[in-house]
Amino acid sequence: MKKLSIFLILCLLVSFNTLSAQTISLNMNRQPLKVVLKEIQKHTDYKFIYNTTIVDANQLISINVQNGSLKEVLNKMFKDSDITYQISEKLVMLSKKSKTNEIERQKRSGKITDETGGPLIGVAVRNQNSNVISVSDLDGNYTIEAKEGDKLAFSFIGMETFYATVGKSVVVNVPMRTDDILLKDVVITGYQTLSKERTTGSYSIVTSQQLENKLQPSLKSIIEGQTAGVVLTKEGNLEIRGVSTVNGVNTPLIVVDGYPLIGNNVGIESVNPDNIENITVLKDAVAASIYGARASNGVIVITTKSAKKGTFNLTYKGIYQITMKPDLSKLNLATTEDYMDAELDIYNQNPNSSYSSYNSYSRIADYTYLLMAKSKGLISASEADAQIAQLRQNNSLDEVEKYLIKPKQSQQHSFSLSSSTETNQLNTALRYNKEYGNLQNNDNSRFIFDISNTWKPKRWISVRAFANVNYSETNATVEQYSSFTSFGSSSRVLPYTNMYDNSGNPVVWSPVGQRRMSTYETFAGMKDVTYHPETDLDKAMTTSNNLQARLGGDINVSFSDFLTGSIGGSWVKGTSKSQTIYDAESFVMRTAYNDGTDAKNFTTHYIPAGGKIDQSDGEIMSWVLRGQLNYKQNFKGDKHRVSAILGTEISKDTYEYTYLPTRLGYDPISATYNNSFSVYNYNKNTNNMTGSMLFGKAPANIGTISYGNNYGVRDNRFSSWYGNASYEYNNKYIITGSVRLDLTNFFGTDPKYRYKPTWSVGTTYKMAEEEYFSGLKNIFNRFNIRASYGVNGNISLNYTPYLVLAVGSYSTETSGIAYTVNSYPNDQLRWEKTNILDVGVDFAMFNNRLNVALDYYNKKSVDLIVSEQIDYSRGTSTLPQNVGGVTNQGLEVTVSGDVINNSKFKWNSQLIASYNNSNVDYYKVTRNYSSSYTYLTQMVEGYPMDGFWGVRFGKLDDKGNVLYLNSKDELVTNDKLTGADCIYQGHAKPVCEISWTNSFRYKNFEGSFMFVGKFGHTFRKDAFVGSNYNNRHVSERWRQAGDEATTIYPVLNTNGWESFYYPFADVFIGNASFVKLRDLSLGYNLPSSVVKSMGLTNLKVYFQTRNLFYIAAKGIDIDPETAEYDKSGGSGGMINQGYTSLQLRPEFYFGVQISL
Amino acid sequence: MKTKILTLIILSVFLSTSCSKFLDVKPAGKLIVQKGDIVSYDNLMNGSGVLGSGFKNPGSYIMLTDEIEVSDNHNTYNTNDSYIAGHNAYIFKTPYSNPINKDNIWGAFYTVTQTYNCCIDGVNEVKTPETTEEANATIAQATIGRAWSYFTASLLYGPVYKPNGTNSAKVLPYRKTSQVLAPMEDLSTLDEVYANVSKDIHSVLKNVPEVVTGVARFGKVQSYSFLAYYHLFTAKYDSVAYYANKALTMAAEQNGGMDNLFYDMNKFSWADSKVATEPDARYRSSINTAQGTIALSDANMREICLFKYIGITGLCYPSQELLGLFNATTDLRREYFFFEYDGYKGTLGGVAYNDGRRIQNFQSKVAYTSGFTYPEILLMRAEGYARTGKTAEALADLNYLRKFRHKTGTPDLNISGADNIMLEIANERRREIPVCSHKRFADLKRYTKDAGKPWSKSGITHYLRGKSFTKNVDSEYFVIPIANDVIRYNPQWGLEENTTPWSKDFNF
Repeated sequence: MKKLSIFLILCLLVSFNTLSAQTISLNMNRQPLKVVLKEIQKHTDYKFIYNTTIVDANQLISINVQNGSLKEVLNKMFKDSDITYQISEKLVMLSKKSKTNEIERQKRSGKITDETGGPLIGVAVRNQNSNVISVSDLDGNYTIEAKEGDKLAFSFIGMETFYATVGKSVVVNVPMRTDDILLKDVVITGYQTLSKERTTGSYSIVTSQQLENKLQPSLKSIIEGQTAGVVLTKEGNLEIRGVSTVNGVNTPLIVVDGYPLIGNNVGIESVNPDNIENITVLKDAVAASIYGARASNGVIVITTKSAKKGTFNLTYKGIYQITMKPDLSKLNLATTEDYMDAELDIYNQNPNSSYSSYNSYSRIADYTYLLMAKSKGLISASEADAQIAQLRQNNSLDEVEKYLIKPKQSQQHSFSLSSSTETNQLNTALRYNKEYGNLQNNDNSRFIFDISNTWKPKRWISVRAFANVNYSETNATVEQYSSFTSFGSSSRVLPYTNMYDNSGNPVVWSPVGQRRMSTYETFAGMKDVTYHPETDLDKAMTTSNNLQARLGGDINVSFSDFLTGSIGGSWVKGTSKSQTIYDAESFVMRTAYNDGTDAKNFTTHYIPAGGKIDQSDGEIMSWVLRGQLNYKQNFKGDKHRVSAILGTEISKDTYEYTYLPTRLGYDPISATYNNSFSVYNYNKNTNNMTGSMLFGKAPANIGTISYGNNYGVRDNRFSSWYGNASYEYNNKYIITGSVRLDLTNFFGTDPKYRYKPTWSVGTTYKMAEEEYFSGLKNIFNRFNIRASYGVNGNISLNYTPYLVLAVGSYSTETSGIAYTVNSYPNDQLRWEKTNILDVGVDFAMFNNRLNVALDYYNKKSVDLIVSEQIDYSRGTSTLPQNVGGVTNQGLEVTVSGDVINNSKFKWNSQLIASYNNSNVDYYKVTRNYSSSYTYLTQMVEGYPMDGFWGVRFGKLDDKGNVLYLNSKDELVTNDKLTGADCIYQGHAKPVCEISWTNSFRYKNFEGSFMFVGKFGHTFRKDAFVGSNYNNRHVSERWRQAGDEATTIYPVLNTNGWESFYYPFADVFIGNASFVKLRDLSLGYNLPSSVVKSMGLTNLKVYFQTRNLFYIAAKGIDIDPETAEYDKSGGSGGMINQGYTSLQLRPEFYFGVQISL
Repeated sequence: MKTKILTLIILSVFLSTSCSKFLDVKPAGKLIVQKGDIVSYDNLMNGSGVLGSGFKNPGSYIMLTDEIEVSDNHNTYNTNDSYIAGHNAYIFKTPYSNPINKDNIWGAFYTVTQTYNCCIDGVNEVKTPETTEEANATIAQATIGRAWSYFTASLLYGPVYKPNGTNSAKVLPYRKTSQVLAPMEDLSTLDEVYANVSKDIHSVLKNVPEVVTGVARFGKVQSYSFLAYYHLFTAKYDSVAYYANKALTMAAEQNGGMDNLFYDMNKFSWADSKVATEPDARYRSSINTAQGTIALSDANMREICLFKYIGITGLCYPSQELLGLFNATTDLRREYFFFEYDGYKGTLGGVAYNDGRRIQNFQSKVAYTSGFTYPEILLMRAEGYARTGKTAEALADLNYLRKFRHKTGTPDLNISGADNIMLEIANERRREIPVCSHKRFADLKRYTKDAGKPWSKSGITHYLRGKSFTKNVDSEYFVIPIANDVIRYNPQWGLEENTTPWSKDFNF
């Protein structure tokens, strides 16, 4: 933190010149103080130190001295000013003269330190009773005259002001703390570091202190609620001010230490949250246009920590987390009794169907099988009835929850070490975290190592080098909880499956096609086909790992006081590997072995004994190179401030991946497989050789047998030129402008579209600096009005101007490797454009006690690449073209204030509200059918981007079928519904998101809690719609004439036709608004005496809990956040809205932080 | 200072570096065909794009033929949307399909022609002098493939073709460009379609390879078969016999003899041993052909000459008229593909319905094609012979097929008179071609011109719920109209949209 503050105090350090004379001759007339001091330094080896908040460095000084000593010069200089000085060895400290009688006061002194115990240099110490001011020296020591009872105020930029009342002791030591709010005043764009006062754009800043008490492992979720306009979506993506593309990249650009993260698996998760100094979110055109064509979705700039000057620090932070077990009753499934009742109903409706399935060796549900077997005489009626009675006693869901599901847990360990000398700043950080999932053998871990060093061998040059190494590993069982809970007619586990005996021991069963069992028995050498999830889980695993190193650095050269330049870059190299292995003893491989037997010769097995392994490998390499010139100069004092940058950047992103062929007969011990197995022959012949394998075809549950050797590469290239400039007049008016040209190898066969610059202009008006504002100055100490406009771009990496073919697999119908057309040529494809207007007001009241930021934005995106429907007589029904348009409009409010702020108790409260409304301006699609509207969410002209569209429920008829209301308010059956009958049912995404954070500090305790609220969106409730009899509402269905008066759930009907319409009825739309206590945390810093006795500088313990409770809208009986719009859903017959996700459960974290 | 200057120079050079070469690469990882790479375009003909993916979904035209009958129960209780068009067609209630719907069959034909157009244009762009022969072979296959697609489409979307008359009805745009956004052609008349098809085939026939890699491609055999089929409609029966004979002779040479182009059904057996005792075992059992290792249900089973998807449907039963064509005791096709099984039954809204046991056609046991099978080519030759007075040759072909289809020992046909032989050939076609496919639909439209002949029908009659419905074959009821959305995209054609209300309510 101090590094930043150093920028803000003028600390003039000059090298010792042995030839300089100790007498000074000066003749300067009305020159700024800092110029005069600089001149003196040329002749002496003294250093000047002063605080700009106390001493005005621009005040004009006149002096004429010939061969005078330093003291003589200083006395003469400050004779008529309010400045006094103090000389200590080779250091001259400037401060203000006392205006009161100093005789009663005696010297008090002490040392000023930061949280780490390091000295703070240049802290202003003001005696509030006498107005005497002093400054701390290089060791953090200060001296000031004060009497008992005087109040001293210690102030330093970036730190909270510390107040002390002088007692009897002459020594007053002062521990100062970093001030979160003030640190927000530095904007880091990745190209520049600016004071927020010097900008015109819209930025949000998150400081390391805001992150420190968030103990969850995911950086994305840590950022949630911290800044206005940045939201974490249901899918886990960060979104800045809505989405402004359809097919393009829709996530923000992440920039770390100045360079964008490009390539696969190089996301924000590769950043160590414990090693972050500052996160700056660039939201509008001014900020983002310097990132040009990839900045449409906003930019998140992350700066990692660097060592504080002259310090040594070693810190360990450890966190353990446990999450409550999921409550499976919240999956909203039918009870065993209701499920069996429905299964019986279905069987009676179409008894042929189960017999057909049985005959074709398919698995049918156990209860249905017993009913069918009983009617066809396959087993006796009494035996069937007895087994059915037994099934009614079981409840698999309870057993899954009790025996299979575990609470999630995680552990995080983080070390950081930093050390700094005059010329080197070294920072290293190491982090390891491991998370354990709800099922055994499911875990993931990540290891992050960072090292950075800044070396400043000469005053005019500095060299920065950094490295980031990430290793992550994921182990997941192929079967997940949904394998045991998504009940369908051929599921292995059904609600009435008996999985455990009374003592909790697993009970095995054979979930294969019932008719297969008798066939297996007639062959020798068949494998056992019994199954139990608990024992089978770890026999089918997907493991993946990812290693990636990012190296980078730059050289900064100062050519003169106003011109600097830098050259730098970053380089990423990474490998990833993913393997799915089915063990030889897994249920899938055992049954595949059996089913892959030759029907006539049981010694011939088309599927060899052993396991199955599928593997893919990927390798990325990407780099960015940049050269930049920076110009910064002030004229006429500081009346005119000009700064500009000019740079160029080239980057390349390459990726190679290989899918190896499926290997069978795999033995993990010897790492061998069956060489004679030919995937090509298997797929070409065996798979379709009806009559040759036991049941005609190859076993379906073995999954895809991949040819492998799929090989792919990517080579994306960008080349850019950019520049920006800013001019500020009299500390009141700022105008800025930026321009950037991006070229890529993706587009641009038509030169008209190749050279397309992005640009921005912006202005800020600091109203509080005006004369006419002086009357309000004691209320508003800052009042800035900002406005900006500009154009950003976005790219869709999926489309090119060329005819692109795709290689498919072997087709048994055409006897060859099938190629298809991937995309038709279009040489007019180009960058998408987003025009952003931003108007903002920032004001601070009561001496920064209350800070308010307001922003209005309008992002108009045009030329969006969408697949426009065309005449299918042209051979394709859609063609991607730059024709889409979307507008996002929004308001953002941040209000932050110190409710209480005294030396004992501090309470800060911050409310952030973001409102975003999108509108589809142009999107040409023909929607004839209601299903053209109801699938997932739809973009419809004149409506929000993520709209839910659906049909209107009328009533159930006297046969239990659904009648809908069409656009003329007539009751119709589903076949009569057309697109015109669909209505808009609300946003799928929240319109308004708020977060309300309260932080407290009392003595050594600190705590905070954050509420998040999401409003204005809707969700589709779970419903029984005719065929999904695994839903809890199946028992409320229509059964006989008259029921239609009391229920909205239709008759059970296996054809599933209603499920294409009814789930999307207005009666199943729920209000998804909620408020949730997202987190609550407590921290305790052990008293420094205790900590010191342990040889430490700091010891802190933490506790945090997340998602303790929520409040939803009236009548909503499930957590809307769980049921919120989920893109992974579908619209098929058994789909059950609200089912696909397990509910969010309360999480508990315990942590400790130790610093040496 | 020297270092500073050096740095400034390096920086300046770097800043002014031009990167045009750096960007001058096509995006990697995407198959953008390079000069000389004919194979990549050739491989497009291995994709399902040439098979007509939408064509395999049953179209309403299927329900217009005399091969099928719909049960009252099915009509009453099956309320599924996709069946409504079929039921409408069965009772000739226009429009058959919902006019708001996209016409997937039209779409499928144009996906096929676009795929072939991409091959032709693509090869023309990347071919080099060294690859001329390879390029010509690919272009030839694609050109004939495109012609086949347009010709088949014209059988559905065009009226009855009058060989000696004027066929000025506008049918479809005969599009020959792969440029998606190129202007849309005007509609070709039926005469123009026929002329284009013939021109396309003959312009490239010399470049067509004799042997092709898969049954979905047009080699010489397939092209000759297509020409034989084409001339069935132009009524040039000597050409029919000529090309069918060329196709059969060449195929026989390539496959080691004529017998290898046919399955002898006398060698067939049921895989499931319980077929003899269990009534439903046939249903679940597959058929062992004992002739080669390729399954009967595979696209490349030995009788298939050209494989393309075909629309077949399961929403009806074979008609009594069709069943009556089979000799129940000697015809093995009747044994293996037509047998009794549970009919349509179930419960809806508490009402139980049941069609009882019905004789049904089990299409899944054998691969069907809208291309050509060798038995069909043989019957085309027979028809060509019969209609040009070569009755002995025609009868020989018939009896040749019959020995594979009837139980060993069944006597040969011994009939005389061209019309009698022609009737038997027409009936044999019905036994061979897929039940309720476009083949019968097209045959009805060409036979109707042979007014007064026993194989010709002027109209088709269907029965439902005790009522009968009859329409003339040579009428708009047997022409599939161009869909409304296609008309809207092409106002220059001057066609009018069909605004007749569409429903499934059968108030008859």
